[in-house]
Amino acid sequence: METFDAMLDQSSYGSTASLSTAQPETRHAEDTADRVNALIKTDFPSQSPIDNLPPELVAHIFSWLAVVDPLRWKPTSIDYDYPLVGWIKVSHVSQKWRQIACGHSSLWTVIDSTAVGICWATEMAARSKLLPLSITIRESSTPDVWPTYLADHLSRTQQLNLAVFSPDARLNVLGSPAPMLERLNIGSSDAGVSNFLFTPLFANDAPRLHSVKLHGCINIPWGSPVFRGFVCFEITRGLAPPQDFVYPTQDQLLTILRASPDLLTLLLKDCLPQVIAPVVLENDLVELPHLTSLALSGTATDCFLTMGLLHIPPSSRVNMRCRMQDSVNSERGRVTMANIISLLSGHIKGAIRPILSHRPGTTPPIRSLMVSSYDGNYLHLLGWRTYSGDSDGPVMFPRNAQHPLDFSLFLQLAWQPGVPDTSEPLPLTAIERLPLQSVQHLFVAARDQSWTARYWQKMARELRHVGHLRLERVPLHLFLDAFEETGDAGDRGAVLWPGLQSLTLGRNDILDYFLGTTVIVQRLYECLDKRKRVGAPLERLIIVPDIRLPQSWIDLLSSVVSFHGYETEPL
Amino acid sequence: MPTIVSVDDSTVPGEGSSRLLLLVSSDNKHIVVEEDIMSRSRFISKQVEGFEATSQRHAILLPFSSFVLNKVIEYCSHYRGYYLLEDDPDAAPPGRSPVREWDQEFLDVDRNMLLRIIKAAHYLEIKSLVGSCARAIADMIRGKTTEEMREILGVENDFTPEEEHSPSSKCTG
Repeated sequence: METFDAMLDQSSYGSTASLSTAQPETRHAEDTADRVNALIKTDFPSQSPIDNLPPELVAHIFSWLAVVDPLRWKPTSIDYDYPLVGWIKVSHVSQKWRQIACGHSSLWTVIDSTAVGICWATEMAARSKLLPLSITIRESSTPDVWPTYLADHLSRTQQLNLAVFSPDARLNVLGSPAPMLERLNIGSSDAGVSNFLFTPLFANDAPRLHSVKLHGCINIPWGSPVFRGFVCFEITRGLAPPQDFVYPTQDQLLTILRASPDLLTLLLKDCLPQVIAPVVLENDLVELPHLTSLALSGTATDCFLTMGLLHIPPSSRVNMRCRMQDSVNSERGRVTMANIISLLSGHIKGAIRPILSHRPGTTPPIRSLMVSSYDGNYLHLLGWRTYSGDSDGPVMFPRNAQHPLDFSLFLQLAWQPGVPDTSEPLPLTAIERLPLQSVQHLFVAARDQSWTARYWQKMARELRHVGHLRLERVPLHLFLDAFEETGDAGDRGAVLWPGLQSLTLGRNDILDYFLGTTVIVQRLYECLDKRKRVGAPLERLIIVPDIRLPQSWIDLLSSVVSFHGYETEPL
Repeated sequence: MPTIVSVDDSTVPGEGSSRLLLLVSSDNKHIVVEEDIMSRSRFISKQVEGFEATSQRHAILLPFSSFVLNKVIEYCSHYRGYYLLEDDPDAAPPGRSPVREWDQEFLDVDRNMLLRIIKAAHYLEIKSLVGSCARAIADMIRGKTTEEMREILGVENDFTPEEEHSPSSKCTG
C-alpha cells in the first residue's frame, strides 16, 4: 500500500506540504498495478520494437507514409506484376505488416488511377471496403474503362478529381447520384473538344457537395439544384471556346451565391454573366460574410459589375484581372477605371469585424505594395496589410513569385498594345485614388521608360511613408534623376523619400555590363553621398545580382552606405 | 488501466488554479505535474473527470519509463495553452497538416525512443503527438526498399521466400 504523500515524497517536482493525509483505494490500486506491471514487461522486449505497437498505430504510420510516399508506377503494364512503388512496399516487409496494411481499409481510400493503373484501382476500392473514396482519374490514360470504374464507385466517392482530354469523353456517368460526394474537381485543357457536363448533374442528388472546381468545361449546369451550399466555388472557362461556353445569367449566379452563405472561396474566371444589372439597393447585395478569397477575371466592366453585386468582408483577398477594352483617354475608359478603383478603395477601407482586426472596428491599412508596369499596357498592383519583410527591414519578395501568399489586394489591368496612350503613367493614376498612404514597403517592377524623374517625385508624394524600396527591371538612370535631386535649397526636405532607410536593387540595368554601367554606379554613389550630406542618409543598400559585383563597386558604395551584395536571393 | 490513488484536498497554494497530478512511471519514478499541462491527454482528462465530484487528488501509474514520460510532459508543457486541432475532440478530423518545426526537433531522437514516445502518446491519447511521431517514423522509411525498412525499424523478415515475392494483392484481410 502506498499513500499519495509517500509517493509524492519520492517525486521529482513540487511540494508535499499542503497535501493532506492520503486515502488510498488500495484494493483497486493493487489490482490494476498487476496489470500495469504486465504491460511494462511487454514494453518492447524484443529486437523489433515497432512490432510491439498496436496494429492501429502501425496503420497510422502507414497512413502518413501514404501521404509522403504515394503509390505510383510506370504504366507499362496493367497486370499485378509491375513494380508498384510507394508506401505499398510495407506489405512486403513482414507478415504482420502485410496483414495490417491489407486489413486497414482507410489506407486504400485515396485512389489515383493514373498512378496505380485501373487494376490496382479496382483492388484498392475492394480493400477500402465501404469507406468513402477519393478518386483521381486522368481520362486519357484509361478512356475505355474509367467510366465503368467510376460508375461502380460513384455512390461512395467523397472526392472526385477528373482530368478530361478526349473529344468523346463519356461524362454521362456524372448523371448518376453521388450521395457521398463533397468535392468535385474537373479539368479539361483541350480547346478543341466540347466537354459537356451531363445534365442533370448527379441526377440532382449530391446533398453533401460543397466544393466545385471546374476548369475548361463548356456546359456548366448553372441552374442545377446541386449547386448550393458551397464553401468553395471555382469556375474557369479555360480554353473552352467562348462562343460555345454557356455563361450564367445574373439570376443563376446570384441564386448559387445566396444559397452558399458559408462560401469561403469564389473564383470566376472568364465566365462572368454577360449581362449584369447593377444592384441599386443595399439589401439586394449578396452577403458573403465568411469569404476569404474573391477572384474575378473578365472584361473590366463585367468584373466591376459582378463585384458590385457582393458584400464581402474587407479581410477577404480580392484578385481582379481585368481586360481593359477602352483607352483610358476615352470617356468610357476613364469611367471604367474610376469605377474599379473606387470599388477597391471602398474594400480596402472597409470596416472589419473586431476579431479579425488589429484594432477593433478598423481594417489594417495596406503596408506593402508591389507595382508592376510593362510597356504602358499592363498595370499590376499587389498589396498586403502586413509587411513584406521585417517592419524595419528591406523589401523581401521571392524572385519570380507571381502570387506571394496572403496578399490582400491584387489588381491587374491589361490593355491591347497602345491603347492607354496616356500622358500619365498608369500606376500613378491608380495609386492616387487608392488608400495606400500607409505603404512603407514598396516594390517596383517596371520595364517602362515613362517612369521619369517627375513621375518618381509624384509617386514619392503619394506614398510618402515609404521606408524600404526595392526596384526590379527599372531603368535606373531615370530613377537616379529623381534620387539625386535635392531641390534648389539642397536640404533634406527636398530629397526623394527623405525617410528612406533601405534600397534594394534587383535585376536592373546596373547589373548589365553595357557601356555606362560604371557611370550609373558612380551616379548612385554621388546620390547617396549627397543624401548623406543633406541629412537624409540611406541606412542600407542591397544589391541582389546574378553576378559577382566588381570589388571596386563594392568599395565605392561601401564608403557611403552600409552595403550588402548577395549572390543569391536573401530569403 | 492505470493505478489511481486518491487523496483529499484539491488545492495547492502557490500553484494558481491548476491542481497537481502525481504520475508514476514504470521505473517507479514519481513525477508531479500540473493538471493543466496534461489536459492535452484525453486519457488523463478522463481519469481526472472521474474524480471531479470527490475533490480528491490523483496519482496515476503509467506503463512507461520516466524517461519517456518526461519527454511526453515536455511536449505537453511546450504546447500548454495552445490550441491544436488534432487534440480537439469536437473538431472534425484534421487533414494532413504540415509538420510543426518544434516537433521535428523534439522528435529528433533514436528509433527506439521515437517508438516509445508514440506508444506512450497513444496510451495517453494525445493525438497531436501520435500524429507527429507517426509522421517522423514515416519520414524515416520514405522511399526505402523493404530491406532498408526492416533495418531501420528492426523488423524481422518472417516471410517464406514464396510469400515474400508474392504480390500483396493475394494477401487476406
